[in-house]
Amino acid sequence: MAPSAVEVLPESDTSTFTIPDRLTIQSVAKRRAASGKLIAGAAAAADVHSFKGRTQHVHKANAKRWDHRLTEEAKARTGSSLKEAAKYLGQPGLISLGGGLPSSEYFPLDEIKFKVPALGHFSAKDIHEHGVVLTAGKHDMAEDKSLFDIATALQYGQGHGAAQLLRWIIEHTEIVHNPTYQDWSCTMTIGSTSAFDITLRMFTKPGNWILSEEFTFPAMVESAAPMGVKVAAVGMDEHGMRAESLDEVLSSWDEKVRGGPKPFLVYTVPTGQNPTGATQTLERRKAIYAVAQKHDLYIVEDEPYYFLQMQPYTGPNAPDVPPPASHEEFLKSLVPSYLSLDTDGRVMRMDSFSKVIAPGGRVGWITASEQICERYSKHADLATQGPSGLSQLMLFKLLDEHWGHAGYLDWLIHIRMEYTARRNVILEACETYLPGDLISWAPPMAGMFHWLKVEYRKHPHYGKKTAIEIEEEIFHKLMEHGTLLMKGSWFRAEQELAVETMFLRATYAAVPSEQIQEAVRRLGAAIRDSFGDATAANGVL
Amino acid sequence: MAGGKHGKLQPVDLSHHINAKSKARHPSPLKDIIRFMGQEGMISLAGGLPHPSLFPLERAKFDVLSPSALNSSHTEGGRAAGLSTLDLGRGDSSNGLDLTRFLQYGSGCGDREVIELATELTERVHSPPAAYECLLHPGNTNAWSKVVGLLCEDNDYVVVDEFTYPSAQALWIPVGIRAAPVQADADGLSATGLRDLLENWDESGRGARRPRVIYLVSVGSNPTGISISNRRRKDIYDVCVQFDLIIVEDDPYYFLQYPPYTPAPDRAAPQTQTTTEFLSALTPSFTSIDSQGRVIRLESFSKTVFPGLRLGYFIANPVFTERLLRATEVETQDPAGLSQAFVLALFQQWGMDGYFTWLQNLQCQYRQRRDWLLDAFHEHFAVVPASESPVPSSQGLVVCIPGKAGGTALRPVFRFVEPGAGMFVWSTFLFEDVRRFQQIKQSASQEDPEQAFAQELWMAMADDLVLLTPGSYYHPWQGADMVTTKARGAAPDSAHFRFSFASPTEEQIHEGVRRMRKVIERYWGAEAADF
Repeated sequence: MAPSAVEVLPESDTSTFTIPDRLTIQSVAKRRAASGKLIAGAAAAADVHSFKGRTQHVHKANAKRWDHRLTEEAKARTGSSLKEAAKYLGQPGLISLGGGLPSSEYFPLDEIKFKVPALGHFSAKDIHEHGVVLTAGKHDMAEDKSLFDIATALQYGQGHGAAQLLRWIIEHTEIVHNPTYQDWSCTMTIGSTSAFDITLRMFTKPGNWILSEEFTFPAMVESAAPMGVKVAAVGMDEHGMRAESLDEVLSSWDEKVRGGPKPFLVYTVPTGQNPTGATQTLERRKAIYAVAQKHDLYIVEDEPYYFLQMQPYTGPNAPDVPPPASHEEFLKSLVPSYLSLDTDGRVMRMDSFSKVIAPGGRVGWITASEQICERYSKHADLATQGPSGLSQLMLFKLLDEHWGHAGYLDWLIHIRMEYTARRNVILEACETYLPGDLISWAPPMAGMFHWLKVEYRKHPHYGKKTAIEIEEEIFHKLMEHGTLLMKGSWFRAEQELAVETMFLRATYAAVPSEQIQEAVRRLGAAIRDSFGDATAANGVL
Repeated sequence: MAGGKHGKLQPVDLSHHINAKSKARHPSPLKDIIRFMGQEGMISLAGGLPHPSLFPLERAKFDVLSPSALNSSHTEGGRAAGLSTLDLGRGDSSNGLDLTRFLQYGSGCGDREVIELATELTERVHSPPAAYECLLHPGNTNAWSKVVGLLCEDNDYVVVDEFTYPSAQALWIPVGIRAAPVQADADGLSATGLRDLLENWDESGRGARRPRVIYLVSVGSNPTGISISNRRRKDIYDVCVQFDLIIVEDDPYYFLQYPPYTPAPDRAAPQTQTTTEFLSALTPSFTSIDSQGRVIRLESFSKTVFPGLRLGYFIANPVFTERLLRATEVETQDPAGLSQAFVLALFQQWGMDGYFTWLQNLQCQYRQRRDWLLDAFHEHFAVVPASESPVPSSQGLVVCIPGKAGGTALRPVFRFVEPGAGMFVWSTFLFEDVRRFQQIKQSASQEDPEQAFAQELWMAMADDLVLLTPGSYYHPWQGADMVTTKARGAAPDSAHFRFSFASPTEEQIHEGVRRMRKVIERYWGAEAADF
């Protein structure tokens, strides 16, 4: 993946070169056939250029270099010298008395069977009754039964993950996002938690600031804090991070007041943001990207909920919008990612299988320029190594061998409809049970969270107690009524800033419908109780 | 996290070892809410978990070998005999393990039952004298990274063996941490050498505080294959107590300990031992003598089950595991759920004693491989004890070729200490008699003639299709100005190569050593030509 390894096209190829159409599901097979059979043994380095199609992207410009943004530490990473030696292993007839890999004969596992949904039969009942069993044997590669097997998947591997699964990931990324610059690449992660930790180590030093939405999830702030990195809040509205606010924060940055240089790393969850559920529109993304160009920012788009984009919300009595009729329609319905708008190579996209397959797999990937992916995987070689071999094997069997890209998009449409139904339940319950003068919301278009704004200025204790104290009081009132929501203040990126709004976060992802309805009913009662009781108490005084 | 508490010593207070970064970690405020979630009748909308009915995996079945499979070695129709099936399903499973539990987000410290398993294993094998806790991690690579993040400040020195695992230090070289190597002999790292280093540490000269961490692969060290003897461990531990060092014991080869090598004709077949006999024959770990809680042990299933699990655990003083858990929450989260589920189901199937039977057979298998390599040395070279060799001051064995035609004198090629554990033979090649080396040395065109010739020799072997691992990979990083043989103060006229017997077959080992012998003949042989 090093820039020096970029294939130089033979003259005959370039002379007849025409700009190719974007990769479609239909053209994946063609590209694969052109590349020949994928042979990748234990700890084989992945040939990303062949996975991308050798001529597919050469008409595009290369990404910007980020040497001026990477830390000295990141630039000095040399990776594991042991893995460098692996390149000599390709010589035919070579006997290695050097390698330290344990013999796969001694893996106490002979065969694995995964029972998964058949194509298009996705409900839990369908899986149970019509599920398909996928089998992985120990030496399926040698026996020509599969491109991946137990002996290879469960051996030591490269930090970027197994070539077999990485190829699928690269194709999927291209089908969905079609990156606009030439030297984009993907490398696997052991989840976006780890990916963000490594990203911070690559780009930040103690005393630095990074930028994020004013409400963000606390683990992000907590991973930065011990590194001496602080988070500067960027204002939001119902469409997430505001471009004007981002520009304002940067344009008015005062090193003395902030005690650190002007930040250049933006962390954003553009779709179904945690905790606000907000989704940035295409216009918003373009505006933020323009600010990023103006201030030479590097954008980390963390997109666990990207495929939890839902159908439009039509209200309680209107008919539902029918599901996307085709893969093309589905892909078109998705808000374009920053990656797909990224002409400069200034975006690192973090994808994860956690919300669309299962969190326990601990597998994700990043997409960024080769320079960034190469630095990332060098770091991963030493900090994490690749994801679990069992998880990679399961994903390869399911996504590559069984579903293929088309089947996976069908699955994503299924998830979309499932989450739409759950979201509709909570929205209808909110309309039924919540006092509209005290609580308001925008219907979430993606993700797992519903963000409720509380008119705390109407609370009888307003002016007597701080906003945080009133929030605490409401939180306890909720528990008295037997329901639990997250306090909005827990998600504040900059705890030092004054509190001028109050929110509660509810999830509709994993709670059964009847319980969602009952919990929202209790929430309504608790809010009336808190605002009303206190009013009564106030009257006595 | 859990740890044997009954009758354990209270660890001494070692909290001053936690670095500034790690002290600054806070538990997530969201964790506060978990205690409310369990309240009677509570309906929570506070969680952030995806819905498990949308996990597209209903069942996973693993056909696993029996613990004695490596002993029987017979197969049926290409498949191993005596397979049994681990069956993990959504909802109810016969073994009580619900797949959903492992596919969902975890708590950070790992599944409770896996932690209990780790604790039981720790008690059976190490029985640490001081109170400890186990915490899961996704493999020793990451575990070491977290320990550096826990204990080291930038620009610190870390004490290491004179040859050390390169990935361990590649991690911290970019943050300015350097290695303070201590020489070793056949009993492992020198306790006297360690004491000298610490006693004479010159803070202003070094520009750094005295080291507070020692990193050891204490059994079957990678690359040297040497294990630290029982006696030596006690001495090292005492020095670490005196100078307040934390010992990081990275010990993936612990169960691969072997009896001494016996040449093929006299070699007896290994006897099956009881679990008690098997365990008591193992060198006691640093953890097992750690009365103060200053050992952080990195355990891994990579060498005993398979590397692709990316699953292991820390055994450490609770003051350290608490901070390591905070790091886990924001750096990695739990190890992969399928890996945790597999290990748990495997132990349910095998039982603890079954696992020890597996380890015993694994040990026999790797011992056999070690013997194949030493057999091949004996077949293709004259292998003599150092005291009877042309280099009598060495330790261990010296591998020689005959001297001038007709003479009885031997020419030494390399020396090594017979490995009593692990996967490696560490060789010191002796260049003094090699004319080509002398040419390079005298030409003065090379800053480091030893490494220049080692590189040439390595390439010559690679051209003849046999690959060793260059010893230079394992030089401790002491700074950019201490890289050459001379600057490192390393023995002149020599360089190192690592042999591994982990994966080649017996035929490949013999053929590989034969090819190596041919190359050596060209350089060391009586007929060796000028180049």
